[in-house]
This record gives sequence, C-alpha cells and structure tokens, in this order.
Amino acid sequence: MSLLAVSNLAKRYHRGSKPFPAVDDVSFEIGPAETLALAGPSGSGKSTIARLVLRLIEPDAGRIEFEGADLLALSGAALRARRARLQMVFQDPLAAFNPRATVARVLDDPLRIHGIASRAERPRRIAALLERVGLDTGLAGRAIHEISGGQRQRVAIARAIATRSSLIVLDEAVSALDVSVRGQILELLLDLQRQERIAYLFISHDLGVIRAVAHRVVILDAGRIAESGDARAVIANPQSAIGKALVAATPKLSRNRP
Amino acid sequence: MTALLSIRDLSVRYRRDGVEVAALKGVSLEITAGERLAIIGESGSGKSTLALAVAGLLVGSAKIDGTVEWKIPKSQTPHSFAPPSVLPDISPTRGEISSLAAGSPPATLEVAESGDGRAISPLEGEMSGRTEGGATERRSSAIGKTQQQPLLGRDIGFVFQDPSSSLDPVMPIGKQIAEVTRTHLGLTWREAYAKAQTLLDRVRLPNPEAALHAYPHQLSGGQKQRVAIAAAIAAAPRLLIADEATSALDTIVQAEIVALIRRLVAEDGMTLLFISHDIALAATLAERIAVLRRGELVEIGETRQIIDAPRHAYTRALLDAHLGLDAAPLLARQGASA
Repeated sequence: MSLLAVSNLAKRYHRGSKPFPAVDDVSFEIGPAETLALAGPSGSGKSTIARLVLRLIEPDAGRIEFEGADLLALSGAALRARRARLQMVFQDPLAAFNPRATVARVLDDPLRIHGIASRAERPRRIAALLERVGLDTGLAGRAIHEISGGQRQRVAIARAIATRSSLIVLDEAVSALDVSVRGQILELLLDLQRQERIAYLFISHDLGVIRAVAHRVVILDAGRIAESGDARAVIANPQSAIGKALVAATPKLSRNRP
Repeated sequence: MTALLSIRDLSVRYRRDGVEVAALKGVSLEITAGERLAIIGESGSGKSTLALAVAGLLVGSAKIDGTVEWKIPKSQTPHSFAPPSVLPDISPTRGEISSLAAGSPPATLEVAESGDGRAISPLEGEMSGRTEGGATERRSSAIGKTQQQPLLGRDIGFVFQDPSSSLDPVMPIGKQIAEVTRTHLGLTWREAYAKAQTLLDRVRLPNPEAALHAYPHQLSGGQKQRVAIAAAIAAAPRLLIADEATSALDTIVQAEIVALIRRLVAEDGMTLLFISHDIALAATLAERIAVLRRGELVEIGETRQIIDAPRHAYTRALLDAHLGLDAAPLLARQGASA
C-alpha cells in the first residue's frame, strides 16, 4: 500500500493576466521507507508539488491521499494531527527558523504542540533527538544563528522526526551544504530511513545526489511528468528530451586513478 | 608562459564583532596570461576573499599583508601594487560594472584601514550570496587612479553569483552595459549603445536590439547572468573573474553559462579566474586548479593531475565526496553493509 498517493494534481499561477500551469496532471505514489526524487529545471514545478503535498497551497484539481486519508478533505484538528506525520526540511534552515530561537526551543515546539511529551519529559526527549541526528546535547542552549549550516540542517531533521513522521519532504535540503557535510547529512537521512522506515519526497536539481540516495525518480518539465522510473536506470538511460538534457548538463568528473 | 598576476604571501584578516578572523593565510600563486585557473574550496576556504583581493574589492577594514603584482605586458611597464583595500564609487544604483578601482600607493606592503565599524566582510556575503549591498557600504579613502593601476571594469571583469543584486533593477540593461564602455573606453552614448547591442548578441541574448531596453526583472536568472557577463567583458578586460557565477542557476542553465564563459574567454584571449565550490564543474572548464582550505593553499596543479593524482589528502576527500553520475550510490553501499 502506498503511503502517499498523488493523482491528477494541477495548480495554475497567473503571470500577469495569463494563467500558466505550474503543475499539470501530475500523479505518483511513495511507499513506506521509500525515497522518490523529483528532478527538473527551475520552473518545472518541483517546489510547487512540495507545497501542494504539504498543503501550504491548495491545488486547482487532483487528489492527495496520505496514510489512507484524503489529505485535501482534512481541516482543523484532524489536519494538524495528520501533519505531525508529514514533515519538511527546506534548503535554508536559517530562513525556516527564528534565528534567535535556541536549538532547544525549535525542538520543544513540535513536542509541545503535538502533545508528544510532557513538560517534564521534554528536555530528555530533546537530548535524545539531538543525539539521534549526531549533535552534541550541549548544543541545546545555542541560538540557531550561532551554529553552522550543517548543524542547522541536522536540527531541521531532528525537528522533522520529532513528531514520528512517516514522510519528510526534502526541498533542496542538501543543496547549500559543502560536499563533505552533504555526504554526512545524506548518510544520516538513509540511516533514519532504515531505522524508522521514513519515506522521503526528495526534491533536487542534482542528478548525482538523486542517483546516490533515491529509489525512484520523477523528471518534470513545465509542470508535467516527462518520465519516471528506477532512479539509476532513468539517469543511466534517459528517454525524455529534458531527462537527456539534465544528464548532459551534469558536470562529469572522470577520474583515472593510478 | 608569462604571468599576468603574481600573488605573494597574501594574508587577509577581517575583524568581526571584535574578533579577528584570518580569511587568507600566506597564499602565493601565479596566474598565467591567457590561462583558465579555477580556485576551489568549501565555505570559509578563502576562495572569494582571494577573488576580491585580486579585484581590489576587499572591504576597507580588511587587513592585508603580501602583494598582488600585476604584470601589464607590451608597452606598459610592469609594476607592483598592494591590493587596494577599498573600492570607491560603488553606489547602489551602479553595481560592480561601472566601478573604479582604487589603487593604493605602490610598494605598500600593508594596507590596514582604520576600521569604521560599518564594513561588511565578504565572509558574510559568502553566506548570504554575495551582494552589492555589501559593496554599497564601502567608502573610498585613498583614490589613486593612475593609468597603470589595474582598473576593475577596464582591466578586470567581475561576475558575481547573484545577477539580481549586481544589476540595477531600475535601469535598462542596455544602459548598464553602455555605461561601462562610456566610462572605460570613452565612447559616446551612441557608440556605447551600439557596442552594448553587439555584446548582448555575443552573450546570445535573444533579440538584442529590443533587449537593450529591457529591465532586469523581465529576464530569467540565466539571462540576467548573461547580461552581467556582457557588462563584465564590455571594456575588454584582460582578466575575467567569475565568483560562483553559476551556483544559483539550475544544471542546464549552469552548463550554458559555463559554455558561454569558455567561448568568450577563448574569443577575447582573456585570462579566467573561476571560483567554485564544485570540483567537477571546475574541472570541465579550467586548465589548472588551486585548492584552498581554511585560508591556505592546499595544492595547485594541472587539472588532470589534481583529479587523477591529487597530492593532498584534502583534495582526495573533496573528490571522494563528489556524487557524480558514476559514483557508487550511497543506497547500495548501505544495502551492502546492512
């Protein structure tokens, strides 16, 4: 059974008076503990799909089923409860969090709001979350703006798993990181997936990263699905024009090791 | 193999919240005339500071030691200058394209401006996507505009990461390019506009004649970067510096802009200093690669040597961290170990 089933999703924006389709008849499914990547050039609809799935914006047409529930029909307390299971990590956690909040505050909020842990229990839970994402528990008292970009992204992941989520939308979540840090964050995501059976909707412009971590890939072009399939098979032998263009444009590092 | 620039023992320190941060520590390297040299490194490596030092764009409060010696060939005599520490005449409405570099007096080894407390360090710019907003805070001090000094805009073209902040949002792009040739080549407005149209054609902007009157917001990110490149090369500089010039663009547009830079550098015989965090991208464009880490030059060599036989463990780590289309997937590695 699929964890997330998106069918015939559509969203139009208006550019001046002209409507233009940002997402046009898009359907896909994600199973438990699976990583589905969305790839495509800027303007292909990747981030709009992320926002639709998170219900940060409303679609013009289509259906989103999450854990068997019609996500678009939910509202109020039922939607909030379901949202605990559906989390997100964006490219720039400094923009996503109040920069002056402490790490502990950022992790305390979801635990409190979703009633996951009592006030007395929360400091221990926060420490456990920090350890789970490979951070020193001493970081809890630090402000978000004081810690490094890699540490901030670990805090964002800790927050996303704090509510026992089953699906995390990762929108260019590793794109701004240095390559050495990026590798560690990807390893952490894979480890969490294996241990907690978390699924990822992994949005990236980088086919190399997608190939490294995703099971399947959907390649988008101008709001429509150009092709989809096993990530390594599609990237090794793209069939669509946009898939071929993306592969051709990816810098190749051909190493001849002595 | 003549050197265009010789950088000797260059150190740059910034003061930030009362704490001194060393951005570059005793870096020495030569840039050969006509070569394509990539400077790669992660955040905090000093790669952008090096680019700014060569262009004379460092903030006034930066403490600079060492020399950047600029060798102007042919009729002009070689001379030396300490990296100018400030850049005058960057107003919010102009951006880098029309700026004039300040030359510090030659043979000055240390240029330490008295900090005025307002300076914005390039380190901050590195995190926010370097903007001309930083540059607007800079103020001129000693302006030594002798003709032998390398002049930003005339002798050095600079392309920044974010074209939205290096272009003036309320000035037609044709005028922004025409200003460069008016300032540096002394053209009339009519000549400057004709030249701007030719430049827009050279950077392959569709319909260059109409594009002269377009405003930056009417263009895509890739098109804006083409305009910024047109402005940077307008006065036929000897050295083109591209500082993460393709990092904010998607993969396909990035490849187009890299191809454009490669073609323009070849056509005009420019020297290229290509600053990037992406070793694979740098390798597609550069003949030599310099690797920086925490302000130090780790190694420099021919691109093939750096990629195939890196001498330093850090370079090897960078290469191993690259996730290419032929790398072993992390998923598979994990599956194997699980």
